Amino acid sequence: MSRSIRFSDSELLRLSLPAWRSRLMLLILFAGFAGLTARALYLQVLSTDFLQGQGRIRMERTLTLPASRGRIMDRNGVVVASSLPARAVWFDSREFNPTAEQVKLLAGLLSMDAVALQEKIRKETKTFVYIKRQVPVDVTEQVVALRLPGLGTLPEYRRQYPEGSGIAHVVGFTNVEDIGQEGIELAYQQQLSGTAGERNVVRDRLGRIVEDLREVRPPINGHDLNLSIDLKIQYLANLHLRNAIEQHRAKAGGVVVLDAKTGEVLALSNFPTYDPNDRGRLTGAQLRNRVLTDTFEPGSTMKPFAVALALETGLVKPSTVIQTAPGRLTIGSATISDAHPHGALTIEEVIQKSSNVGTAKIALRLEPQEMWSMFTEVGLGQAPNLGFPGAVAGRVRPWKTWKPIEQATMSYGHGLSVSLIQLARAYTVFTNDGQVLPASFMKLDKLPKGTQVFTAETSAIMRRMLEMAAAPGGTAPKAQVVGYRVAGKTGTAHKQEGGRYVNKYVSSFVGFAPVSNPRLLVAVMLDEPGAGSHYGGEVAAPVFSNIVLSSLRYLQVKPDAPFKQIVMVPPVVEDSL
Amino acid sequence: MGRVNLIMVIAIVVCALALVTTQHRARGLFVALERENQLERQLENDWTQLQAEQVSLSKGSRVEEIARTQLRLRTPEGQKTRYLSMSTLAAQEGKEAAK
Repeated sequence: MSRSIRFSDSELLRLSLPAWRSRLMLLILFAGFAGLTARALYLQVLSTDFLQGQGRIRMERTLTLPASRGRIMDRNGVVVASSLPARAVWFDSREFNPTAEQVKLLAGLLSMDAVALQEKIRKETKTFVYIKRQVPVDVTEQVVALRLPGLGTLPEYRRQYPEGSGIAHVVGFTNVEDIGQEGIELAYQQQLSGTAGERNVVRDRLGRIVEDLREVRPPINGHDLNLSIDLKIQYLANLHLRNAIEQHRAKAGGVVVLDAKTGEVLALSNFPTYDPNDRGRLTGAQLRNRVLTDTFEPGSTMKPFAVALALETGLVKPSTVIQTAPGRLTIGSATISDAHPHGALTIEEVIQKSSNVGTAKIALRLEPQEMWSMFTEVGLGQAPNLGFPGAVAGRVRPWKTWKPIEQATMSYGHGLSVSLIQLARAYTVFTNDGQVLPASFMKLDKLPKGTQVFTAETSAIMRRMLEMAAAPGGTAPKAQVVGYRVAGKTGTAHKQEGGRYVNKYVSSFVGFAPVSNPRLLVAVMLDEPGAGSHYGGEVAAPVFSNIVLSSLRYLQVKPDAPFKQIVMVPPVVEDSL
Repeated sequence: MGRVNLIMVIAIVVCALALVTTQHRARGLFVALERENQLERQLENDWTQLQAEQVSLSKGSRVEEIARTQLRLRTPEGQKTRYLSMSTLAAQEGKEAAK
């Protein structure tokens, strides 16, 4: 009996096959199965990492969740800068071969020049070329609907400034990459910009997200900022500054309005200005935030500081008489003079009439070091701590190098330079009982800590003197406001060009109101007024008056000055009054 | 022995089916959640857009323009304004109430 396999017992089918054939067959089948088993083992045990990796590549996607930039709001929560989703349109030059008709359509949608676009598509050889950025989403939806191969869109954000040019110098703007370039947008870039989030997802065949693979890392949106600016006051400051610049044909100008009790910047206006939404043709002159970056010789607006220091140290009393006749004073080889000779003046009258000679005589009694440290304490000669780009320090030379003539001229604001915001901030010593307050662009929750420079009594005396200066008989009767007591000081400074004084002026006025309980501190500066008068009392004081009147009305501040009311009062109300 | 096996088979089939349905429903809910998230984002964007529109429509210059030209309003002079303090208002109300 052979050991071959029996397929049948039929005699007819009995073939005497060689035994090796069935064995061979068995071997082949075994080898086949062994091969399959080995392959399965290889795929499922040895090369899992590779295969799972490939699977992941096909199914999983890592999505970046863009974080939106924080909004910027004014002190009443009105949005002045916010981000809207937008898209960038790009193409891959290897795959993008549109017909002339399609290019025309595309250019029409993106409001671009069709010829220039055609030229760009023809020239570019890169695989990623932007056509246009920051396109509104509804427009890009139409672009995508054209179904052009090689054309794509990318999500991004577009910054919009609904208030436009009105607050441009404070807020600034961002570039297409959403990075701050100017103003608050630049200064607070860190807080405003968020951190993009991430999520790992599984997409199905139709591209829908079906599952989160890992925990979602949510995007952290940028912080919103609450500015100290009040848009209404900002508008009023813009309006009155622009009117004055047109009326006096000045080259430029700036206004800053501070809250007299907190140092918050309520309005900051510069002219010329620009629209941050349309930055096609920007010039340096438009971009310049003159209030912070331009320094000028302040002129007479500095006089109250020297006088206050003399009062503080007890060298003089408000009633002390200073002889200013004949209106000239010679120190060494230099002579300083008054615009109008006055004769014997009390300290009060020196400020009221703005006598250079009187102020210089008072200042010469002071120690240079005392005067220098007072200037430093009120913030002159050092950059204001605003966190604002480009805020300058101005210049106050070290006291050791002062000559008597320099000390005398500095007391009336020549030989040193300040920016308008420094000047405004320095005046908080008079509105805030002798404490100088830090200026702030952010809305404050609590009162800031001031630095005591003068005593409250000196501050009160100075308020009275400054009120006299802004009253009839002073240098700035045009600063008067119906219904409110105002105080302030004019300044008219010659400009220097190439180290020589030329016949160009900077007219300024710094003042506050209402005097009984100061609320607003307004500093006005007009550069090179060219229509007739250039005196601060004629040019800058009316701007102050207009801004104060309209702003105090808006703030619903009760009038503190007696004035004749001519309104007819219904009898019922009259009774109750 | 055979009964136990049968019960086990039925149980395992039921479990398998339940797993499939649950998975399916989970995905359905996930898609719905995604849609709602999308809607939330959309609404947020609309809100931002509307806020911006509100600001540009209520801009000081625009309000003043309309007030002056269309409504023919003007700012009253200080002399023609009667200022009332809270105490006078209260007194007035008291008088009216007495009548």
